Amino acid sequence: MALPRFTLRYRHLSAWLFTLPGLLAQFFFGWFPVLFAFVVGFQRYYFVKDAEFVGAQNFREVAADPLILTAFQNTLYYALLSIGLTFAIPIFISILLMEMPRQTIRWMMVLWFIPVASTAGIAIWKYMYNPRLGLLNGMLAGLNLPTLKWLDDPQLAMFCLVLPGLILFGPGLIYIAALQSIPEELYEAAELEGAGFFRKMRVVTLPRLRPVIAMMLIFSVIGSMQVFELPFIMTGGGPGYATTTVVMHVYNLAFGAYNLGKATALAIVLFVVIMTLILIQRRFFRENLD
Amino acid sequence: MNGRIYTLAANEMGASVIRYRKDWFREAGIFNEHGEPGPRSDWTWEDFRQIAKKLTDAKKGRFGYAGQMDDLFYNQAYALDMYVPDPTGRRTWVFNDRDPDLLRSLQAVRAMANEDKSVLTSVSMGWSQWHNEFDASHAGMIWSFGPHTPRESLDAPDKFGKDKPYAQTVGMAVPPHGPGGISGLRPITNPIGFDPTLSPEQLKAAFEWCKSYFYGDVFVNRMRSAMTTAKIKGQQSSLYAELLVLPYKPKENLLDRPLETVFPRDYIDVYREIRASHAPPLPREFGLSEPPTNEFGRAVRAMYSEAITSNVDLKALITRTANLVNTNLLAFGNKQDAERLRRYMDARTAFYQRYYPRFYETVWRKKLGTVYKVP
Repeated sequence: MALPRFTLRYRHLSAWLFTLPGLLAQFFFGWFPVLFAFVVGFQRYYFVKDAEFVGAQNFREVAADPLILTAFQNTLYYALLSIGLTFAIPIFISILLMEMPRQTIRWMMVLWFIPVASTAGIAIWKYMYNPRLGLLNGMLAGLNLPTLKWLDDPQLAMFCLVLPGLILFGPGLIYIAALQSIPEELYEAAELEGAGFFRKMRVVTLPRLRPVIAMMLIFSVIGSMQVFELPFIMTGGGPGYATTTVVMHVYNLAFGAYNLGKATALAIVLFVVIMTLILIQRRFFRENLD
Repeated sequence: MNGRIYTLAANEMGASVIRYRKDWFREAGIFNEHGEPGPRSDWTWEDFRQIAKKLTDAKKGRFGYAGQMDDLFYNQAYALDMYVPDPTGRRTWVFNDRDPDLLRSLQAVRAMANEDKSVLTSVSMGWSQWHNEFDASHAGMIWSFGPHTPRESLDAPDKFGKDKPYAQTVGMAVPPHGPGGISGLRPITNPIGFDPTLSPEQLKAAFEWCKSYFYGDVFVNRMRSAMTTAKIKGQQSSLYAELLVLPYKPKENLLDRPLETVFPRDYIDVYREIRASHAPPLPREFGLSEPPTNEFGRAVRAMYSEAITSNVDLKALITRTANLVNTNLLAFGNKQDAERLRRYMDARTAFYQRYYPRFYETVWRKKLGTVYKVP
């Protein structure tokens, strides 16, 4: 039975009213800053007086900045290391975990999750890397192996930043949740056809995980291209500029050099780079094996 | 209070100083002109380097010096200006890559960290960590802040054990002198402002708390007189109303005792030297814009940390830093700046002639026509 027009209108109105606070919050804290960034990117922006329109000057300054290339190289290096280590390894570990008894899986998940819950973990890693007093060099010395300079070595510093991500970032939990939702019958059918562990992984597990992997890869790319807090807390971007990433440079331009226009222009460039990477990635994952 | 707004000179002893282990100096046979363990009052950065080397003992886990790898020798050491007038007049300033002392300072930092191995440092080392290293007897010298050492001697006299009274174990010295005997002291006097909307009782409580916090009970009289000096003029103030919630419980009233009976000679000497020190003219006093301090400091510190941690060619490093700084931080200037720069340089010349004649004769005069050339 069709509802009277008044009731329908009331329902629409009340739906909008209930949604409105969320929409306003999304607009002011989500969309507006993004839209405003495209304005500031073309302005000489001051904290205490009116902004001036400067056209593409900020983008020209970004192009001429001698640190930009280093910052992008560092960021891409971090992204590659980070995605390689924190993305691929947890998939494999999750699949191996699923072969264990249910009780063990539960305990392993708890153990895996504990460090994820601790943001103080980053600061702890800083001390673990201490060349003289840190745990890692202590272990190496205990094994009569040569100690390392860790964060103080420009060649090693970026790798040191990725390592905590392997433990502190917990995509493995999401993979385990996805793995648990795969129907047992698919594995049984594969076994009936004589499939071993690796064949089951190839024909059942990975195709079933594909949508989750695609989503997590997008998160990984976005997250690693925007890395900030790890180098900010652990190295301050050093030694030299060995761990200065793009977002760190954006931060330094905005709040160190007080050049908000150039900082925003650089943020827009990064936004475009990330969007391009995601579009390429989506094209790669478009085919649906299901 | 009583209808007036009061401020407090937060840093009567506000200057970076060297804190050192007197017992280590005694063991190494390093004594000052009074025959006490410590550096001479006219020590130089070369003395500093040699002392750090002497104090270092790898077997005992001792380093001569602990600190942030990018602070050491940073311009104080060679009295370097990191930016100087642009002789072409295209902009106000350029990075000071023409000064041969910059290369020498980088070479010295690299040598201390990698050849002498007398420096305990790390890219992640911060203020609290090098103080902890000092307290844990891993370092013989550190940078510290003027008031902290005397205050610790009152607050924690047994920090190094009952048989090692703090004031007899920890010494304080002015930073080593740069070329031409120029002082490394840079007094800082940020006044603390109080919220004028507070009641007189609240203001008084905040005032009392700050006296205790910044000076212990000892420096109150000195600090009151400092309030009237010109040192607080023109500085920004900050609000400390929140401090009211903290209790003020002085341990002992030392107000009426002369400072000399409370502290050892080296503390008093530093205190007197800070009070007698003079700050050179600043560009902003002549209407000249300066680069953003934080970002400029970051670029210079990155240069020093790269010099320590890599084998990069130092001349190439200086050129790269100059390119970065000139492009990102010094790309400004206007037509009036040439005249302003001239007046600024004249003021500095007069300052050095008056207060540092040896520096003027041996260093400043020579560099004035080269490194500090005004368009």
